[in-house]
Amino acid sequence: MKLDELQSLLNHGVGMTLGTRSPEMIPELTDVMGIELSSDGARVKFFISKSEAQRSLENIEDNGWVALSLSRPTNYDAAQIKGRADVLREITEDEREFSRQWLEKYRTEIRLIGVSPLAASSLIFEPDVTVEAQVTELFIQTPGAKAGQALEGQ
Amino acid sequence: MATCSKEGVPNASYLSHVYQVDDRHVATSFQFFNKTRSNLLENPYATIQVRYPSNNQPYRLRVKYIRSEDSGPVFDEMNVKLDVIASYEGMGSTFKLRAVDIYEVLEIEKIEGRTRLQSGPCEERPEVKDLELMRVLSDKLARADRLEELFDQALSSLNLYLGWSHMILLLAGDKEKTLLTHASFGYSRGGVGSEVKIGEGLIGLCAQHRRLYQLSALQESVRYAQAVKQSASGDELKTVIPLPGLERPASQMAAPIVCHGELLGVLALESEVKSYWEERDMLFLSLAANLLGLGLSALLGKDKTMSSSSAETPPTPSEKIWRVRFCEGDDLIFINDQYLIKNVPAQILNYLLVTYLKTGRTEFSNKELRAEKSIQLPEFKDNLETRLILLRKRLIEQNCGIHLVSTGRGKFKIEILGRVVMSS
Repeated sequence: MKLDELQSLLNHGVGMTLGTRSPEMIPELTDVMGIELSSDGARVKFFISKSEAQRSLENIEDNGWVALSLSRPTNYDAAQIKGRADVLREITEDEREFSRQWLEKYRTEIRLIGVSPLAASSLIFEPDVTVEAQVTELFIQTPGAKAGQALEGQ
Repeated sequence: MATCSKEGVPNASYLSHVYQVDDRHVATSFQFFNKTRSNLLENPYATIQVRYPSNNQPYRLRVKYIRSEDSGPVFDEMNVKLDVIASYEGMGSTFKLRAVDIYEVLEIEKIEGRTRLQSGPCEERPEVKDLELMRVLSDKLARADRLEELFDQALSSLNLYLGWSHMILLLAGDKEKTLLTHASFGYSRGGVGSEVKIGEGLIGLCAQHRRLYQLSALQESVRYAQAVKQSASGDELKTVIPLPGLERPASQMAAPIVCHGELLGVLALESEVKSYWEERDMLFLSLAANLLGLGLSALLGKDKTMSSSSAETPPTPSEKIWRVRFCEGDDLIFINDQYLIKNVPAQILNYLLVTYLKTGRTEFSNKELRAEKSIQLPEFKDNLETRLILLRKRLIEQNCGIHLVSTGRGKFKIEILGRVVMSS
């Protein structure tokens, strides 16, 4: 997988989850509702919920480490983006709109695997926090032999 | 699942399975060496997010990795489930389970405010008290005095009282390591005579391990019978009766029918509803399979298998010519170039028709079939009755003008509406 293929994957309404860790090295997870990777792959921006991600937000404030796992529901194409967060703030209206567009793509993807619109509503939420991070590593995470390999050219 | 290396770098990944071991432990499958696993060996703490299958309610499990197991009951259970999924997806050994990783659950957090669905299956299910249902079910099966009645009573009662809408009943076949469909419920195509290899797919693995298995969240695109169909070569396809199956199964469950330690068959269910079955359904499936095993065992020894009525016989024009071709060696029989049945039932029909054409005789007995050398019945437990039922049902299903009708205990006649022409 190359960077442009990862960008293409991100345009398909991938499911996303964020890993962080506490000062005591306890890992934490929270769902992510929308992601934007810069064209050179150096910066990443994503959106989460304050009420759902309390421990994740504390972890980010503590040490900044983030690991974003991305997986396309219809074919399990997957990648992971790791980095150090340096911006944590309220979401802007433009970013909220960006997240809504991502949600529509995600709804389309999960509808294709048989998730009803009602069931889909349980999988999504409106984010209110934006996290920006400097990317340190990009990995392929599609299950199989190449899982864990760095993205080509990275 | 989120893990963290000893250097403090987190890792997040999607898991294929999280298995509940007991009230305080869960397990995940270890199939590939990856960052998650190396992190766990350095730092045993992890967080797993799971969703309740029927309503997507998310939970976070904060866990501590305690050990890996490459054998034992948890490993076996997960291994079979992965085998089933691998066989559907044609993934074979690439999906091999190396071990199961066992975790202690330290904390469970319910993520509030998201789910708008009720928990549990959405469809209305009949409400019958369990003990009453056990009485009704055992009563109906105990009263059946013919195998066909036993099958019909079992499937229709399970539909009526438990709401199970799609069921297949398979019995051990002529060939070693095969199961044959003897009855089904809820499908437009009955599929009587369709074959499943022991060890393949959910049904085959259930038979092999003699354990109840259920899959509650199959991908929509995976078809029940795919593994069976894929395993057939081009030549075989011409003689394969398709297994009845839903286009989009979401839940599947199968229980072995065992009596006196012997595998007699498998009772399998499927549903288009994700996570349709609950613990109670599993208990009743096991109970139904056990009752069927006892009923089958008792009735297999009796020669009362043929229906005393020919009411099921469809009308057929009397002038019709039935060109019957028996392939000796392969033991396959075709009627008007349509595959009918193979192995012992094919030998039986060949014998009946050859005898009828030579002598004009239409009356036969089970005793005579057992003594006939061209019919290769095993000496011990020959299951002649079930083979005759299979043959009779296939003749009806194919709408042939050839029918087998009971004329008394262990006796039957062959009725031919039209003219039979034999070739080989």
